[in-house]
Amino acid sequence: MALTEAAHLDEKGRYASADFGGYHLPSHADVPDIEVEVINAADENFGALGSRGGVGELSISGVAAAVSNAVYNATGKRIREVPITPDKLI
Amino acid sequence: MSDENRFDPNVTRRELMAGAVAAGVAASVPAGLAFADEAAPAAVPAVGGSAVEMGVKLIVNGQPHALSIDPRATLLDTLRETLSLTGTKKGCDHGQCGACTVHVNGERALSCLMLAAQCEGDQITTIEGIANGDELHPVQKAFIDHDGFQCGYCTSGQIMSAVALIKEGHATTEDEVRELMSGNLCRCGAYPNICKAVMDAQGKLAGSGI
Repeated sequence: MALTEAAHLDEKGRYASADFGGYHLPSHADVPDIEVEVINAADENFGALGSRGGVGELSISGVAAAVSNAVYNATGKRIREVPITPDKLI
Repeated sequence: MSDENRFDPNVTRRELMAGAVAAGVAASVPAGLAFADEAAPAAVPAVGGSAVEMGVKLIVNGQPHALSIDPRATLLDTLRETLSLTGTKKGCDHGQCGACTVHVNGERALSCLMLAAQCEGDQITTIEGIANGDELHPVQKAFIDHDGFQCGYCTSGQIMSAVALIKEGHATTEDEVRELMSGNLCRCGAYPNICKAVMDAQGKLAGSGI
């Protein structure tokens, strides 16, 4: 979502990136080691169970923002649309 | 609506589709070409029906099959629909995702991009054929040990690629595994654990000749 996956529409509203040839998912070679850190503290403001809800969906939301911050840190440009592709930085 | 037409909750989606197709075929299509081979088990009729059918002999997981198939049938559809070997998955059907990876004569192949008719007499190995009875193949075991999947849809393709990769002697470093397994997409993003599983299995299999 942060770097590669863009759903392009053509002028008639059809998806131009309708297969994996045009809609780029990260592959093995794109994904480095991932370290999972569990925040071992209850958050009762969020829900009665003390958990931050959801399993994958909520935790993945922050990734695009984190990548965007990293791009800002590296280049000084604040990009507010994902995916952050090189053309948006030039 | 008569009783026999009512929805039966015990019928699976696959049975329903096969039943509906069979009814359509019986009404409209002449019988397929006869194909007999004494060494092979009884011919299995093609699912889906075709005006023209052809005979093809496939050796799937060591078992010879004499099939009467639509000449346009892909190897993937033949495995899944005609032989009911549904462990091989249809992901994109475009050769872009790797979920349908099988071995043809020991080499990795995307079964969605091959016609079954191309594979006359070939040895085909699917995910169903790599375990030794109840004993899992070391790569299968490693995927479980390292939690190398989330939803599991890409897993049979990942495992078939990994088995071939190890057999070719390529899976020696993590970078090599990442590069050479990049034809197998995983939407859940289980790549790090898949990589660990392949490295682990490689360590166990190296030199064992499996």
